[in-house]
Amino acid sequence: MHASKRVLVICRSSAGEGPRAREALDIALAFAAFDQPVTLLFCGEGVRNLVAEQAGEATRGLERLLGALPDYGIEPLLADAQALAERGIREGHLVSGCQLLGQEAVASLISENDLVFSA
Amino acid sequence: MTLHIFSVSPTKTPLLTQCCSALGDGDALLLLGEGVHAAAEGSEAARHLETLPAGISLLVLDEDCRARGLKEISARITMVDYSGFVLLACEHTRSVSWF
Repeated sequence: MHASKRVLVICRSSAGEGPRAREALDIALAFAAFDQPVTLLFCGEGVRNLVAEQAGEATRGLERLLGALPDYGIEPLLADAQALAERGIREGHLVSGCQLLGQEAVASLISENDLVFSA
Repeated sequence: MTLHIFSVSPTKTPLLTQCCSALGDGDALLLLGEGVHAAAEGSEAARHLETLPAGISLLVLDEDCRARGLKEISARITMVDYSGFVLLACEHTRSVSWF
């Protein structure tokens, strides 16, 4: 049995742009399904995926998926606070289970993990 | 009088700045698709749009806002539906698409 790897998945794309955001979540789910500890971080355009009550087809599917992540041990959903502020997105706009991070915390997350995926 | 149609996320590329410098008095700017994010109250993009002269009308497509969960729109920007979009296209002599 190999030692488990600490996995960080950084989602940098919004579902409105194409399939990349969904693909980032699929990577997170795949590692979690094999009991690897997964941290999920939303940066840049990716923070838009955390906005609640999106009525679009692509975005609605993603919101359901976000709601299922705690069942796979992926929680909280980490969000870059600065990216939210630039976009006028406030904490009250977000789905439940989000936690905001400052720039230093983002940098240390990247150095703490063995595998980092950025999509 | 030109209708400018802007459909990319303002935080993805610097295109909005270029589009804004191309706007003249009597022009209209319609945000749709990922472009609607520029209308978000309190965002950097909306603050930039709020500095544009009053002679430029700013509009955003209601349906694309709802698709993205965008509820709080800058007071400077007017919501339009698809029939408003068609009306705008008819009222203006030409249109420029930014994507």
